[in-house]
Amino acid sequence: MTSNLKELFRYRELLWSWVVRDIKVRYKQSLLGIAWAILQPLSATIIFTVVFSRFVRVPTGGIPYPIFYYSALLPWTFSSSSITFGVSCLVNNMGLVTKIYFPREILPISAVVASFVDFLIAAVIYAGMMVFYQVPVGPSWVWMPVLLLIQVILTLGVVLFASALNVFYRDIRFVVPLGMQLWMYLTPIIYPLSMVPERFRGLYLLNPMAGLIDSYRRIILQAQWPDLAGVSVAAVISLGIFILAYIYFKRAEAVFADII
Amino acid sequence: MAVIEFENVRKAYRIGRGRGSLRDAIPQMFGRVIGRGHDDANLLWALDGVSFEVGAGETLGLIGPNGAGKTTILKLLSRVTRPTSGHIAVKGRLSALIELGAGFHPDLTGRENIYLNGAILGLKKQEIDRKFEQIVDFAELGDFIDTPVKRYSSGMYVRLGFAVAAHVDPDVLLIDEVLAVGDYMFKDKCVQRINEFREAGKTMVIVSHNKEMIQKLCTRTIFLNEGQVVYQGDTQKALDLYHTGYAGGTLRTGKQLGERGNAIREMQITKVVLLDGKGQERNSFLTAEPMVVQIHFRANASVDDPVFYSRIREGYRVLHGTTTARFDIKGHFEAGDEGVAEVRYESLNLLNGEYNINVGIKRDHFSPLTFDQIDAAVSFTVGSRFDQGGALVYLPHHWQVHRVSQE
Repeated sequence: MTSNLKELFRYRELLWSWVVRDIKVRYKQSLLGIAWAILQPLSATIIFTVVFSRFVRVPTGGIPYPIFYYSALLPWTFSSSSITFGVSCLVNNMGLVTKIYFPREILPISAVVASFVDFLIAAVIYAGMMVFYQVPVGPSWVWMPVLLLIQVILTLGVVLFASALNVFYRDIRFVVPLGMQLWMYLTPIIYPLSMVPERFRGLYLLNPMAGLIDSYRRIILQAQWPDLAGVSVAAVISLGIFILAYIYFKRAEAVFADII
Repeated sequence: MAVIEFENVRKAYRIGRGRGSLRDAIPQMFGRVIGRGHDDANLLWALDGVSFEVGAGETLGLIGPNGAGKTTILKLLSRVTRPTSGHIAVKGRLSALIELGAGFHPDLTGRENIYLNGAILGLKKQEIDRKFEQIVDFAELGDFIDTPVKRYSSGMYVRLGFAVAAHVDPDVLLIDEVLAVGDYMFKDKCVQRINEFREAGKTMVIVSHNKEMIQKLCTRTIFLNEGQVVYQGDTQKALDLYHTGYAGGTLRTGKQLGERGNAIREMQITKVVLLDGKGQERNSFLTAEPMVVQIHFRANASVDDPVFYSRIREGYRVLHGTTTARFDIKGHFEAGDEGVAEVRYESLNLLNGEYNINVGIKRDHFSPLTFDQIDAAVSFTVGSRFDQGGALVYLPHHWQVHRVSQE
């Protein structure tokens, strides 16, 4: 593992170039450019706000619907678009993978970093919303970088695993959107964590994303400290997923070029 | 002191597996649970116990027919793939001129792609900054440097790919057939650049079908066949062995095509073989010898007047094509009939090199409907003498040089 990380460090310039490439390509190819980054979480927020404030009433504990949804959809979109884009990063670059050596994890890592840039752009809207709804900035915000770090580790783990598996089984990328949908329903995005029955709560929080999304809402919208137990469980599980996925990825890497 | 050590290396590829779908994977998993293991019968040994060493400043050539394992050696040296067994060690920074432009993105400009491809080949940003002008000059891109490469001609694309690769500063350089592309002027430039590398004392490994290039550049050459070293040593001797002395040896002869798992076709090619003037099967010829291409086929339905075609190619480039349609050959075949179609070249006017034959059967000359076709059905090599000229074709000729007296 350390030798892999050392090797990755030697290739840091390539990692950086590849990240820049991914970002440039993404905005060059699309008609709306940067607007896409914002449009995705924003449109979902509008739909959820209309549906869950008018047709079905989801209790938000007094938090205005738009900001309640955007606060969850913003980080969720980062993970889900990383995974949906990242799953085919190896297969899409088969020309390179079969011809030239470099640590292959550069491809999934830069897919995640490029999505993170989208996330930062979409966060500007969030800042605007917070000004509009007069959400105060409190000391609980110090948790933000910690939560983001855990989420990046979790996301990277899933992308490493899914992209390697997609080399062997090409239909993984069709399974991914379905999986993401299920995952979203198992995460407190549409509804608050408080709606999950107490007796399932422990099992429910094994989904690391559940603890993370709930914590984002707590620290930003309710100026509360996150539930430490929930965050610790999320951190441990995320790190576990990442380490296992990285080991699997490096093992699978040996035969990528023979299969692609 | 050896810069490259390649010790008893074996590399197997599993055929027909991998690149599956979940639908295939699930029964496979069950198979594993029930206890049906892998069957090792499907292993293809691309390299079977190959050993060699390359010293500092040496240039090693690799020659042999397609499928001999040359490219596999390069892939193993560049760490793209790993050996099944054996030991490989490379000292110093290694760079590969393997696939030019492999890292280009069509939507990025030439400038952006230079930086990206440079990084892929292991160059630091400052190094690229420093060499940027040289690279652009070498590639002869001029004003196109800020145009997305998807608007480049294929020539420009290739030139840019080589230009970036040629400006890396490695200790060990791997070169695979890069000179097969690009126009004549550019080819010269590439050879010149490779010569510069050699004079600078770089260690190189070159795979090429170009005899002149191997002759000019390599201090030592390995002749490979079917994953094994046939000969290793003097370049001229390796080339002679490959091009002439190996006639009728164990080079792959007419592929047995009966077991191809294709659906029943109305007509099916069962075997393709090459014969010499005496009707002996062969895969290597001398310039101006007779050569016969035999297409063995079977009809699976009643067919009237099928058209056979045969093409001689170098790589994918067709050098000569011919079809029975031009000879007004007719015939009727019933299901179960077997037959042979034959093209006879009285004089094979090709020079030194490796060629392959592409054959097929169609309903008629203009029809897009092909009953059966085989891309590189059989390959062969041609050996020629120096007085027959160089390059690709033999045009009978002679020279005269005389002084023109001045008035």
